[in-house]
Amino acid sequence: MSDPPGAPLLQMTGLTVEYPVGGGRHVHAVSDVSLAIRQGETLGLVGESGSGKSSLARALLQLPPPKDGSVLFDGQELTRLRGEALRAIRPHLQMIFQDPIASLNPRRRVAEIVAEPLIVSGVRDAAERTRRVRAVMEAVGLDPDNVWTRRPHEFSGGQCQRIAIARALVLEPRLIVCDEPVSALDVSIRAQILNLLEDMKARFGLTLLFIAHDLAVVKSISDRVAVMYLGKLCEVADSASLFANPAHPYTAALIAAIPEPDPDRPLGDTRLRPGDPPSPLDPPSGCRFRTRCPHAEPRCTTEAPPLRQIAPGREVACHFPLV
Amino acid sequence: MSVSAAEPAVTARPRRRLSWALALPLGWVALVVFLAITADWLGLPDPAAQELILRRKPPSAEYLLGTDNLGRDMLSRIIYGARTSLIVGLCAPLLGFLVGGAIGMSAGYFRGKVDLLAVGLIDILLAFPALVLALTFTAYLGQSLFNVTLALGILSIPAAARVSRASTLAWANRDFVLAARTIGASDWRILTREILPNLLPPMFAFWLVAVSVIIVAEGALSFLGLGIPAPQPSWGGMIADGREALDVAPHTALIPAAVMFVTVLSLNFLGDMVRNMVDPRRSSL
Amino acid sequence: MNEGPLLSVRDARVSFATARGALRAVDGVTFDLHKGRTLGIVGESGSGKSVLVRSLIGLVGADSGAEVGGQVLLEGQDLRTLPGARLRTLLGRDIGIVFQDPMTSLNPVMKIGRQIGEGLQLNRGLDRAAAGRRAAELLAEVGIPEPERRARQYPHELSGGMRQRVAIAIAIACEPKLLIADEPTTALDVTVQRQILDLLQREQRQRAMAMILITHDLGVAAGRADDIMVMYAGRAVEMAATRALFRAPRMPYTEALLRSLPRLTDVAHTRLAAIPGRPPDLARRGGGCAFAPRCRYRSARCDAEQPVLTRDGPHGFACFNPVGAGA
Repeated sequence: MSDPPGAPLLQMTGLTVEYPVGGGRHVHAVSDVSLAIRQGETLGLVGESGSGKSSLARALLQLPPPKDGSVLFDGQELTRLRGEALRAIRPHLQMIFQDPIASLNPRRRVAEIVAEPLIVSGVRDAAERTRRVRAVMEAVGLDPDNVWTRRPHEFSGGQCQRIAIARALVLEPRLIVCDEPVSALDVSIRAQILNLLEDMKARFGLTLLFIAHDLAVVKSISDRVAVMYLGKLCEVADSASLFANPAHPYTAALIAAIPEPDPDRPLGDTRLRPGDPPSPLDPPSGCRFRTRCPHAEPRCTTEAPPLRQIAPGREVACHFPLV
Repeated sequence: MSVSAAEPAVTARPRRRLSWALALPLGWVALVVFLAITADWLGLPDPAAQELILRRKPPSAEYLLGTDNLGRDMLSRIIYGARTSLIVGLCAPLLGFLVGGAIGMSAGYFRGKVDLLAVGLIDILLAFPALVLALTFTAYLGQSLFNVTLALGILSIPAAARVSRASTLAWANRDFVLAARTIGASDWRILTREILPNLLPPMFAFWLVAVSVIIVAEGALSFLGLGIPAPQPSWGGMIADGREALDVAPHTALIPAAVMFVTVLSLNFLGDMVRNMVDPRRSSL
Repeated sequence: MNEGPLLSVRDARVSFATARGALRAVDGVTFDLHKGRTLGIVGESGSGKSVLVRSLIGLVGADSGAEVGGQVLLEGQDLRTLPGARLRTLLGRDIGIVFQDPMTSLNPVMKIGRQIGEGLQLNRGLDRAAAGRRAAELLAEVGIPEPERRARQYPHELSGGMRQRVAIAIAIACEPKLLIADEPTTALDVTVQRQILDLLQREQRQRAMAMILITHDLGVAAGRADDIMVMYAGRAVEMAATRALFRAPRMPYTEALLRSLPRLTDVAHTRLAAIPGRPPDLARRGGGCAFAPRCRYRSARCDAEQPVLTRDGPHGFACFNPVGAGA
């Protein structure tokens, strides 16, 4: 069990995100989530669709601000910032998206795209901007002279993701939220981009929030991992312990469901009760996982399990954890 | 393993060859525009000069397109009429697209109350029968090139607003707009630098089609006698004049009709071509 | 296995004319598929796996601007030479297809029961009532609770996993001999993915169908396919039984791909062995091996000549310097 790398860079407390969908109904995307991201770590965030992981990431960046809860970044309460004050914080918190081509404006040239953050944050000197853009392009493995005047559609997915990473890095942020950055890329390219992210993190002293549904990728890149289900946190633990000994039944099911590229390993039994995942429009009472959980008991229906520490560095929200 | 730094781009820029489908309509429109601009220097007879003895003459060596009811040179009137049609045809939609485009963009980007208001406005404007509105306008404010252009311009606002709103809705949800917000760009900057450049190609394609619609609309107004006042020539007016003589001198009506037809068709073709060329290409992942 | 193969593909070719020249999406693929077996076709974007399969069943052809070549023998009949109506009957009855995105592969304005029953009425001659009953039975078989009620619903009222189950029901309704699944679980969550793949496998076994499973996910192929064909830039570069492929890949691309995957068994922060470069532009193919620019065993011959699929027993590979050659 490793020591935590540092004090919290960002602390989320009681974060709640809801979207109205007409008829007075709401999607409960994120419900009362409290999570810390420590300085210098890579925190993996996993969950399937409807888990709320993308909503959490966007709420963190106040895009838009969450319905409820607090986001403390470097001593500042982000949820109370507006207008200029919020814009002043933006350079420290950047994001990379799932579809690299859609995350770049098809009508603008690569150099403009990467320089845009500098212009917006007030770097007036064009020569300075050029210098910084060239530097960051080289850092991510792009040849500045080759890509400068080209447009995104002339590049492959992997190269577009490099451009997006360059754009995220040019302001020298403290935290980068990576929302499924390799899911839309070819398998043979994923390793390149994952290695690049690790290199950039080491080189620029970044902290990463890495969102993905592919557990093998998450394990490879994360120090700690948080698992979400239907808007709530199930389990938070360091990478090694989580995968070796999952405490939450959902984590265990996720791990068992992964198709491993090894024909000699028998297919794991997820032990999930048959049935569709419930909808975030109308989450089950008590523990939200109880409708599919093989260990569900009456208590799970009436009482929602709080996230509590069961060992140093391990938290789980379950009345009957596996560990 | 080091990353290959000098990866070439996936596609080389393809050479565009001018196909017949593009060259013919483009050529015609270019010809019309050229003649309309240089009309004064072509040594044409005065389009308003009447020679009653020579009325309704068919095309001949001296009068290339014949003469109309009042003995005026058809070729000259067609060319000066092109000027009228083009001025109205180009300026009215421009007005519509500037105003309507701005309304649509705001509606599509800001949503909520702004959207509700804009859509309501558009619906109100659309509820008026177009021709009646134009007639009322010119009847009340007087017939002149400016008023006709203004009326038709206002009538094209709803269509433009709809196109720009739909397009903005599609673009505003894309990740690169969210990315622009993450770096702290203001709404104004996002609208002008991220969304607008993507809106321009489809708007331009639609504008070309709007031009052809407005030319026909102006023609209809002039045909009804409520457009550009005589003696200033206009294709619609010429068709109206020629209507009386269809049995003895059909060329007086058919020639301006044919010219209008070919021009409108060419503009429609061009609009389609531009629309096809405009889809941002996506490389495979 | 004494019977001949159910499906026999010989030198399948598909090429598109583009502004940049002929794009050879499928460049000479040959394989056999026997009854009851699952062939996994693995490849990335641009490998041609989807185009190949769509061209086999006639979904890609002259009217899509493609030039199609080669032979496709289903139980001895060449699908390429059948007239349109006969081909359609054959397809409806003997081949079932499940596509990647159930939202677009299902008709959004038609009730589910009717979509399942359509094929039965057309190809098996059932009347409306009988087709409706059979549709409800099939919905139950693919694990949809309350099948009669669901049969009267529209696709948008169901979740992604359920829609894919419906797509499977449609595919197996007419009792096909061959089931083709084109990335059937890529758009689904991993827990639902497991359920759908289990369902496909169960149906295949029960009905003794042959199955072609197209995927980019090597994990899926490892667990579900008997034999695997790896495609790269329109060609089959390796063909082997699943175990043999994973234990001892001969094609450097396969080896590199396997080595670049992050594994749950790895320790966190293990440096991944990335493959340099990216998949080739099919319109600008040079003469040699398509993988050569990215291959660690590249030699001069690889740039000049294109390797053909050679066999070492049941294991086929297209490489001049295959892995384990020295052994």
